[in-house]
Amino acid sequence: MNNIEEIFRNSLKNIEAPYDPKAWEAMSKRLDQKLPVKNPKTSFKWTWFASGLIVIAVASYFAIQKNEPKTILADKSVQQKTEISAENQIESKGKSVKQVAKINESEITQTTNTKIENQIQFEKAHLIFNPAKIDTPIETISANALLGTPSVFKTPKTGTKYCENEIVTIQNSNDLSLGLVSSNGFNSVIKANSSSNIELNPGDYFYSYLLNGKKEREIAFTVYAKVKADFYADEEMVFYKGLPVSNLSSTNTASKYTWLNDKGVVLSKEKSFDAHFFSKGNHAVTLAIQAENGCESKITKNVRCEASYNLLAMNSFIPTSSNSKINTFLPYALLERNIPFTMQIIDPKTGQILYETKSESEPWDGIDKRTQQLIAPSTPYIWKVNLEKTEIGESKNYQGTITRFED
Amino acid sequence: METKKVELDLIIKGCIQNERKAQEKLFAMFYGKMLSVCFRYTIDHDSAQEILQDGFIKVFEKIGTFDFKGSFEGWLRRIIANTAIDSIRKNKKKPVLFENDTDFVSEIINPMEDAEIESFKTLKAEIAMEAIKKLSPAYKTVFNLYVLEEYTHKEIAEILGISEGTSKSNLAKAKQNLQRMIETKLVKFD
Repeated sequence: MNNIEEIFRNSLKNIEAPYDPKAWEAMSKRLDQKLPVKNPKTSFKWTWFASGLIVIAVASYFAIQKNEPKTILADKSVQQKTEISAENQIESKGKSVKQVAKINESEITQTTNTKIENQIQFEKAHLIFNPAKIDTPIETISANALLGTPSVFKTPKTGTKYCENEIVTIQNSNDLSLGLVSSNGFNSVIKANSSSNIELNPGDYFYSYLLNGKKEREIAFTVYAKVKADFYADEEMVFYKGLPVSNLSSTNTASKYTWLNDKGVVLSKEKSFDAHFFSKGNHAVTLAIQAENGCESKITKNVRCEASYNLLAMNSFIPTSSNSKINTFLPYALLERNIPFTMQIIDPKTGQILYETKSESEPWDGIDKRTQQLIAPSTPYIWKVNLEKTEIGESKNYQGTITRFED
Repeated sequence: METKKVELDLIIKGCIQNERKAQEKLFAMFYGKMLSVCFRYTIDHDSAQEILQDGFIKVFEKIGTFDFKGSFEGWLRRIIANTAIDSIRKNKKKPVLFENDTDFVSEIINPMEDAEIESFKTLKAEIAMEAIKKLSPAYKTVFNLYVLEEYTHKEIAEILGISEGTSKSNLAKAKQNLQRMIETKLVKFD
């Protein structure tokens, strides 16, 4: 019966109705009622600032008008009425500029002085009130609009995520200042049409700006903390399957690991792996990690190798012994590693080859192939091995000496 | 971390700030899946849309409590499903006529042979939806909650104000009915 459950679960698991943009319109309306976007207090201040500008503009205009010849012809009552209307207009937000202008017009017709200059003056006053001849209610006329600033604010194009200590250039191509604030306490203003290089610390960053008298806030990007890469190595090297092994392991859990040797060759992409070091001394190893938050970090450390690797070859053998482990010679690693090789035994006096093999089943039994005689005891002979396939960082050629001991 | 996860986190953070743009993105992102959830509890498109909107209002109100640790989709889905159940409760005084506990006898079910069901590898989603819609409200609600929302019988009992036994009984009968629909070729498998 559970199969029925599975069948229905599987079939409905990913079912998805097509998106209908109209659905958001309806949703948005409900959100405006339930969760209205609050205007910060600053926007209130800006409204008053804008209103103040209008008053100053009106007052300035009439101050100037008084000093001009044409204004002498104007009926004083019209000026006074106009000023009062301007103030009323600011106080009563609901009225439109156009409405106020119409009231003024009717008032002008009631005055006795009907000279054409008055009409000219009125038109000028009207233009100051409503520079763009906007029919929009006064409350929507922003300080920006009055100042001729744009009605659209383009937030800088940046990535959505960054990592600690990254430096990002924020380009503000608007005619308005852009605030950049962060949950980590960072707070900066990027002036209009300028850019700023900012070193990032972990936290959420927001853009903040004033547009149409409203303080807008948008999430800009998130900066993630770096997870510092580090690793440890086994203190003692061991031999496994004929190879020197030192286990290296990242101390941190990450989503990606890259291990590199000093030549930049990738050694592994696992959290932990068996590294092979073939020569005595320090070996620089770099671990680069990408943490789960996407931030990268790397560290380079020296790993000490105490002894050079030489195929784990013994330096003596006893051909006359009945013990099969010591009566032939072949470097031990060749028995374990299962790789193609060529081994030669060379007479150090003449440089001639007295034995050659390519098979681990044919180790050297101490017989000089030139004479078919057993070599003389206590005389070191040279062995050379050439590997056809090597590990990263390993030499193809090895050599050493081998001496026959008597039973 | 996957880019999608990062994007979603940013959107969620925007929603916490009550940003309309972020809310719109989140709504669009989960609209399809969540509307399908609502559809399973209702019979018509308008009701499903209404439940969806109610659900998203709750989501936006509560999104500040999301801890970014678990699956956001799972969190969202539970709110939407709970909204659907609340809606059923509100619209009808006795929305779901749950049967008595004593009705539950699992042995009465005579399922199709397992092998036979095994042969039905996939079931078209639309057909599955159609079949679920044909269930009675009681069976449908319990089936949705248990099989698709993965609530336990104990949780279902608490949510619906019924006993665990009734929940089990309704589930068994829902499955039996769905099985019958399959047998009578009311729904066809690919």
